[in-house]
Amino acid sequence: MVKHKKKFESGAATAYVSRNRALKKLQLSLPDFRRLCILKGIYPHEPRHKKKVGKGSTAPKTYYFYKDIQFMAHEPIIQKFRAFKIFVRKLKKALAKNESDKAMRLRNNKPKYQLDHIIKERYPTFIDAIRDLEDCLSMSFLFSTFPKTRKTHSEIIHLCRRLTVEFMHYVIASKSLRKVFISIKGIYFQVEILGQTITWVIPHKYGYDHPEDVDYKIMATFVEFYTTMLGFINFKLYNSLNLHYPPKLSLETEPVTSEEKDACSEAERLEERLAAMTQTLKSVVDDSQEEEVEMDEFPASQSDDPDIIEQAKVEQEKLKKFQNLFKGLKFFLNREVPRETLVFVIRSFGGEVSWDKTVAVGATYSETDETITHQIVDRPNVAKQYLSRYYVQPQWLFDCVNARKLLPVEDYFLGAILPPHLSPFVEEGEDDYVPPERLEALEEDSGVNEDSEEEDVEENDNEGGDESDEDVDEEEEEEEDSDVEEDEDSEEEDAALRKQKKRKLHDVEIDHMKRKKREMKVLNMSVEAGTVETDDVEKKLKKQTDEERKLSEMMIPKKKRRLYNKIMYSKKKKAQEVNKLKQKREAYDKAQKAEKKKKRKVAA
Amino acid sequence: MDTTTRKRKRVSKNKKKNWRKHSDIKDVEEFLEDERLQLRTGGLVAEKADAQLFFVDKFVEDEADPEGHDVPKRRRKEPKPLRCHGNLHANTDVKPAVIPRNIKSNNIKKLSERRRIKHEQNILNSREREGKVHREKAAEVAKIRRITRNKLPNIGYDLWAEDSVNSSVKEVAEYHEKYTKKTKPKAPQRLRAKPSVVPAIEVSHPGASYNPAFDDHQELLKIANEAEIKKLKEESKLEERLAPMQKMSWNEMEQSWIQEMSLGLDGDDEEDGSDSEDADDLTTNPPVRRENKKTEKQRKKEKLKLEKEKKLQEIKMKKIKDSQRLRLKSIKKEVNEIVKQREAKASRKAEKRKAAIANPKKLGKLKFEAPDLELQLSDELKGSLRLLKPEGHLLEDRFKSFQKRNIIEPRKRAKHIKWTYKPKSYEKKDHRAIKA
Repeated sequence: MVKHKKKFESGAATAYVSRNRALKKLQLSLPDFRRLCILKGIYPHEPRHKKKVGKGSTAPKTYYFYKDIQFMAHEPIIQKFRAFKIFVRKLKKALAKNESDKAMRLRNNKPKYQLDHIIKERYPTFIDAIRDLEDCLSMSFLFSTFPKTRKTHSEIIHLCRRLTVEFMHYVIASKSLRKVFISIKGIYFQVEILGQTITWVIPHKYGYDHPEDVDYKIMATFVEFYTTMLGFINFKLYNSLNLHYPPKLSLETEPVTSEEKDACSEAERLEERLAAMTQTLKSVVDDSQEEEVEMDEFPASQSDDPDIIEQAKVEQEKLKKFQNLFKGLKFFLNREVPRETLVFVIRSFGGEVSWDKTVAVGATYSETDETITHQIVDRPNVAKQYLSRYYVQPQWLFDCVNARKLLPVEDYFLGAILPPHLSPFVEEGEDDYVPPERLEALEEDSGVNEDSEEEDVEENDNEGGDESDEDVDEEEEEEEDSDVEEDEDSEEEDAALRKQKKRKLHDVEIDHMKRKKREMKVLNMSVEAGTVETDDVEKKLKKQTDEERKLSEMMIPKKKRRLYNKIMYSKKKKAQEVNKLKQKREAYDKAQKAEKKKKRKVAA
Repeated sequence: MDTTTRKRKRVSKNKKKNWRKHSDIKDVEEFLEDERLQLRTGGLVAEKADAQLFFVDKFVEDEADPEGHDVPKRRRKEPKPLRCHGNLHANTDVKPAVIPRNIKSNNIKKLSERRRIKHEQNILNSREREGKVHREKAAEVAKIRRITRNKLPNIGYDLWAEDSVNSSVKEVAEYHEKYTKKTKPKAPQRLRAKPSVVPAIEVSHPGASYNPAFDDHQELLKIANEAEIKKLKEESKLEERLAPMQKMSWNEMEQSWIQEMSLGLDGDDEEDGSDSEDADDLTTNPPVRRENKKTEKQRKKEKLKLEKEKKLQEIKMKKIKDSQRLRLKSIKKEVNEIVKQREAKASRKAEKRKAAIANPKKLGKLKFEAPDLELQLSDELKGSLRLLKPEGHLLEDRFKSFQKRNIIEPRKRAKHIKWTYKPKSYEKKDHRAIKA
């Protein structure tokens, strides 16, 4: 007799397990289960066939893989969770009975768990951990800015702060910062560590309000895991640079006034000075030896091509130059600028920085120092100005970093209307629209028109008269007017155009006939001055390539033609859109110019 | 024994507890104690060979007493071992010295005059001063340790360091783990796969820069506008569906009421009567009457007709089937067509799935709701870092990002249920009467 196969005993029904069943299997409460899932990196999964998984029911449930839950059941931390449950019960009892001694003893023996093995398990190699650093950094930086409230515990905030400061010190020491972008949401940073690009975001420093629909407990669990992870990563990163971990400052002694002594403890003061980021860290070995690092010669197996090697060398040189962008520059920060962000950026590119001593701990020189080259100011005017330095707005620093070179300071002077702060994270495609500001930057970057740049500058210098400029404007306006007319009676014009074309054809024909007639008339042989046959190579080439393309288009099989047409159509649409944007921009620029002119006239 | 003299206590030992309590195991204990002593002092006597325990006495002690009959003379008194040598024996009887540790050494009364003055004025000598500093330092360290004991992770080693243990030792360790069942379970393969292709940090649109370029900003506004329109459309759709019945004016209502009330007043009385009769079971079919009932003949005729039709149909089907043999080619074509359609459907489905790869999955009761796009209108943009007013909260952004990447399921906060029952208030009638 054939054994009857029962329903829901194999396949999807057994591969998944609902959350409630998982809880029962692991004998955990829901909050503990959530915590464990986050720590272990086990996430719910949406089954493809809900009816099969739900054994006939399609009720919306959270499902996990059964194997994941089985794996989780072996986790030693579960025992700790249970121990903690008992601990809480005992403590409650002791407190209720007013047994303070017992309560204290219990508190001192509070069960705690370590996450080392989980980190090793989830990230078997160091590079795996580095790859997953984005979340880790964002969360740690975010939590480090929180105030100490009932919801946001002070220990975890303190730890986050310590770890993020350590990480920033690493970035400064390794010079691995690449991009900065200030958005209205927060500040984005991008670094390159061990060949991995890592982006993270930090909040602006403003008043904190706890968003309502965020589950703080869950976020705190994430942070718990990420702080452990960041600690180990920091340790390894510091070791790779031969730095002390925990970090030590290279200059130990600093005169401490009695007031400061009363204000905070030695440890706190050290922490503050570390967080100031103005000093370099102490190295395990002597600094003098490892300053000059020569690039490795590429082994022959990787690339024989000398061009590639040369290119790599040039790249390396470029990078080195970029990394020392602010070297030799001395900055002074006014008190209204976001200090920490700026210090981080300046120091990552080798600059020196200080601020007023009353603003924060760690100032290294005062405003009166004559060797300061740039003062970062974000207010309309400053009462006392030094001639020996530039007064620039903070955006200059960020734009310099994104442009990978020192931009002219003129646009960023005190009280000037700033050029737009463009996102460095946008990488334009071939057919994408590129705003003119970006285009300029790109062209300058590639060094295509270095000569024209100079010309531009000269032109700008000549602009004092403005006469020629106005002429141009008037002409443009006229053109615009005509354009408008065209738009109005475009249909008529179309018809006219068609007629014109026809007319032209007709004319050509007539010309041809006439010429023939002339030739017929002049039968006698004669010598005329020959015209040089211009061999337009480009035109020919284009013609040829066009022809080739047409032929290859014809050769596309029917199967793929639709796709090809689709691609071409989307390209066309994109081009149209780009055109539209360009026109828009032109119109906007014109309007701006006209407004300026009006203003000037009014002023005159 | 004492038991003989004293009256024996009668206890029933049928319970385990009583058995344990009242059974006399002194002799057993003594025996065991003796055995332990033997073990401590050179092994069990019972297990020792005879040669170890005894020896053959080959020497005659006293010649004068060959047969051993004589009573020996009084021996010289041998000196007893000294008590102080007691602890040199193998099994010492000396009890361990217990020194009380919590004796207060600084009894002020016992101090000399000079010292007392010093103590009162808190004058310390150099050693004491040093000691105090040390104690303070230790206290601080202890305090920090107490604060940080449960919080800070223990980081002082390289987690990813290569194991320096050589392979053979490793093998042995693995073998040991395996047979003591201490091997860690293998992690499922998919554990390291990310649950979504969405990147952890999605950098904001360039138009969300604090000082954006005109085009970028316009683009962002456009995107936000489109999203808003879409949302409004959906909302309006829902509202239309859920819209309440249309309100009627007073006139309309009156008219409809009159119409309803006057129904059947000025119509056919018959119809009205019939309607009222079988209002319970409404049937649309006309009632069966004798005159339109079928006769037997008619029925038979119909039956015959049906059978005939059926036969004809069968014949037709057979013919078609027979002819299908000749139609093989076209059938093949049809089958191919069907297969093609199926494939197309499958590919379409696959494409759809591929397109939805970045979409958040539905992991629980609730669907993921994308957060609002952060943007500032043209007049809100200040163009200066000092005047910048940030939009949105990063904590929310992170939380939503986790949800979007299928790491946590979207949840709704449990609502705080308000007590809906209200105590009823009554008015006493007599109270009103009094007032009047």
